Amino acid sequence: MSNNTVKVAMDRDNRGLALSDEKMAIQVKDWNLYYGKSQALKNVTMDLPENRVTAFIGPSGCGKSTLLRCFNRMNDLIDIVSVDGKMLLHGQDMYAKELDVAEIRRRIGMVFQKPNPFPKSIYENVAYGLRLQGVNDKKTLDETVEWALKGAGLWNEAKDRLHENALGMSGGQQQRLCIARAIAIQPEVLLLDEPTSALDPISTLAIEELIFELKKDFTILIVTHNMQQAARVSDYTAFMYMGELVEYTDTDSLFTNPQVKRTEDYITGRYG
Amino acid sequence: MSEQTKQGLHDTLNGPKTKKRLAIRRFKDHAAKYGISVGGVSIIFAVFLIMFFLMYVVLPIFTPATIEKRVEMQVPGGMDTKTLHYALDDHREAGVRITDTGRIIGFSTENADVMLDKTLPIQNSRITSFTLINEAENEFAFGFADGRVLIGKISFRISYPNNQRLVLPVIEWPYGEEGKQIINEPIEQLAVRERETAMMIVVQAAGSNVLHVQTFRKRSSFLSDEVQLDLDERTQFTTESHVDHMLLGGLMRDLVLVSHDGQAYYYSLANMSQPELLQKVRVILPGETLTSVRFLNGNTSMMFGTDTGRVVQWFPVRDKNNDFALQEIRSFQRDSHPVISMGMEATRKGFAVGDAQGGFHLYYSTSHRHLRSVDVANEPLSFVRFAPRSNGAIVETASGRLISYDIDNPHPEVSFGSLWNKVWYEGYSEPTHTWQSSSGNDDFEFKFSLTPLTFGTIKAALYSMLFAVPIAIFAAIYTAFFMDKRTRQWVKPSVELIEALPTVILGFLAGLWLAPYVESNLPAFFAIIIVVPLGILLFGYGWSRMPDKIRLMIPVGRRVVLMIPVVAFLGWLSMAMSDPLQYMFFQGDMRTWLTETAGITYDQRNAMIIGFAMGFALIPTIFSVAEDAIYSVPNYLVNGSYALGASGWQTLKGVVLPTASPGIFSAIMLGFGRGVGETMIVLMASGNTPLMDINLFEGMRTLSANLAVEMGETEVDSTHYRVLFLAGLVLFMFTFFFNTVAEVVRQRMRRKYGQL
Repeated sequence: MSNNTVKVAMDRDNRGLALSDEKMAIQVKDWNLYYGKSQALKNVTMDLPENRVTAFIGPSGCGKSTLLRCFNRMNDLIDIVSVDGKMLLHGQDMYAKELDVAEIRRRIGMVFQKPNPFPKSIYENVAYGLRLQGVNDKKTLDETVEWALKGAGLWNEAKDRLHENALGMSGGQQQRLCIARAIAIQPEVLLLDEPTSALDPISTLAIEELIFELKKDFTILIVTHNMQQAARVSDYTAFMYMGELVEYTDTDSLFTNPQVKRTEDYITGRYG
Repeated sequence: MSEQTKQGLHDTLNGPKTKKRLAIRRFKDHAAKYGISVGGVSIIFAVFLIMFFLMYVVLPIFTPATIEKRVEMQVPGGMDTKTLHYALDDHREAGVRITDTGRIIGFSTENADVMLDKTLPIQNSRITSFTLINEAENEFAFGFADGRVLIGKISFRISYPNNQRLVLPVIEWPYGEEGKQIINEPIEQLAVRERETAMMIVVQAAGSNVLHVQTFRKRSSFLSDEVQLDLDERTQFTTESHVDHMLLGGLMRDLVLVSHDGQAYYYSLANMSQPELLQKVRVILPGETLTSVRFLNGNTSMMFGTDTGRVVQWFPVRDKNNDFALQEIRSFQRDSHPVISMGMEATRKGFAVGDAQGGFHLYYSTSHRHLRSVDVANEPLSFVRFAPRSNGAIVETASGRLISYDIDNPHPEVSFGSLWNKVWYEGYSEPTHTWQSSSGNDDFEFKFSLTPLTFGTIKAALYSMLFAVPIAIFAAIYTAFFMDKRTRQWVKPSVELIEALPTVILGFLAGLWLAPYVESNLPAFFAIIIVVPLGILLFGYGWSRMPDKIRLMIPVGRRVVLMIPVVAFLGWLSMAMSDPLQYMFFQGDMRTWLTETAGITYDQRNAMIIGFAMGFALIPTIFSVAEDAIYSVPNYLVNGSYALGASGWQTLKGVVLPTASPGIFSAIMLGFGRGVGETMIVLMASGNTPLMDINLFEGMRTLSANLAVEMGETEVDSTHYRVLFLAGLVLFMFTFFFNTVAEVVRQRMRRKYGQL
């Protein structure tokens, strides 16, 4: 199994990437997160490159989703969470007091594990984020919705039923709608939290191809349980274990030549 | 797993016991299935049973009357003299016929056996006129050619000789057998009205236009039963023309003179010394001729029967200037056969018409209903007389046949129109929606309009919703969406606990404490509406301006606790402002100012009190359901919205409220349904006046409170009883209708917003 994984990764054209060459979108320094008294993230320090796909892998409960949620401050919604450390978006402190959380979230979009379209029409789902920002001009909305749906590869399927309820779509379509919804507000970073775990293989493939397309415009961070997926879609991969960042390097290197024993154990399927 | 365990498990799963176990399981499944089905079907059945029972009680109101022939006989005494009056006993066993020659013939209504045959005690003068004083009591008066008036009364005495019931008619002359000398000429027109202590006699001499009015005081002798009439006042005046009918109203105030072509002169005798002509009016259409004129029971409504078969009802109506005028109210017509005779029911507002072609028609005035017609004979019906209990009638034909009918006509008082539309009741200045179901006397006109009750029900529910919905919904939004989970855990049950308060206690507090308190502190309660929300907003703004150090001391979800002292203070402030406000704006007393300066009626127990008290009772219902709906909006939708850069308010408005809207709508409809059906609070705090006024400061009477008040007092199977059941049915339909609409709307919203 692991051999196969590695092979897939090797077939990709992104060999020879190196973190040191990249322009960074997000910088994380000594990041700690606590759920009440228990520490969920321990001294995470990493830089996330712009216009690349970075995957977070690791066993359940390793903190990869928690870390992802730190990037758009979704953890703020949980009362008992407290954090320390530094997190910069293009050099700007994301946790600065004077910063508007909602604005951070607009700049860093997120797609969740389970497709969660609003019980509104397809059009209104995509337009929702724009309307929140006070965009009400019909022409702008129409064009942006079309652009976002095209960007999410959903335009051909959705163009004739824009005003039907989004809940009538299949799971894969719903997830692509959520991606369209997220990119419609022109974020800089797109967070994908196990975006295909609730989908069938065909839909998964569609989403993976989409991710490949999207990285031209966005910095993408993806959490996945599926190592093949990480190998297929990502340029860089971070392996986390028990709240710590164990190994973080370009995907090829991580899968072919892991530097840490624990990483190797995990990607070869000894645990996880 | 040991071999033994494995074998045991295998036996259990596959052995002979398995069959039995499966059979038992199947039986349980079946039992549950049928048990639940039976339960569900019985509920539906029970609901329908209630509805059918209500309908079963209500239906007789709308069934038409029946008239059946009982016996036919020859008119006792023969037709060579004209009938002036028939008297019948309560059980329709004996009757008395009074003729224009002064014969008084008592007879059995079964076989026409004559039991009594008397002549008048005055024999030396000719009878020139006759009038009925009291139809129910069979009291009448004769006018004689020598100007005397003789008053007589027929009653029926029941005795049981040989254990056999025997009803015997008795004739009495309560004011002596000599009569009272009124004038010295023949009396052509005579009208007599009587009250407990007084009597009024109006006469017109033959061939003269002069009317003589005399009032008498009754004086009963200490030694015997005899009653003396002492002359009190007398007056006389000349009328414009000679008339054919004279009608003296029951209040001894209205005197109406009518000629045969329908020209009426309406005089007021309110001032005895100066009778006043109030109005000249034609009471029938030009070309019509009056053929029969009678007072309806109560001696207020005049019924004019014409040769075209019409019967027109008129009565005096008070106008804006407090002046009376005769007013045509309604008319009845079945066919064009001339009206020959009319009979009036003794205790209700019904009447019967005998026409020239032998048709007998039963009508009811208030409900404007034609109840039944039968063809009695091929000849004119010369006399129609109702039995005292309206359960029968005797009809005399021109050729001398006397036919007795059984009438089954228990509920003529209401029709669909009279229940819901405006009806012009006797003594009212215009048609109204009125509910007035009981009174002390027999000639009372029942006023069964469900409109004011239905209106009151909606009014009470609306005002309480006006108070309850904003509070309950906002509270639900805050509790479900903003409050932290731990605070919510005790806030929600506490609010729901209010629901456990017996409404009788709420009603009691509202009626006996809140209503007088509000009345004396009116401005305070209006101040609350402005001061409290404003104060809360101000405090919120102030809080957001506080330095973080202080703000962060209390977690976001628990900051609501800070509001408790704020709201308490604002409430106190409003109360304290009451008196200064009264002096500043309302000349010291807002309540007086309202009635006197603003011209708004103020009842102590009014819709505002109901709004507060019933609203208070509705809050937990609405809150609880709405809170559940908002709380159960999935977290992933909320997070989805936040992740798109929405603020809390934007998420609430854009995602949470639309998703929860079916539930919130249900909550509101549930509250409305409860408000419509709520009884004790409105009963105790609304004043129970069946008004039709949306005024916040006036009370109302609701369908449910009306049922509670009147059901215990009504006679079983009476019209009132059945109308109350109809009110119950209306209430039932109301809730049925609103619940159905609510459910349909909710299903639609649910389909639209999919999630809940």
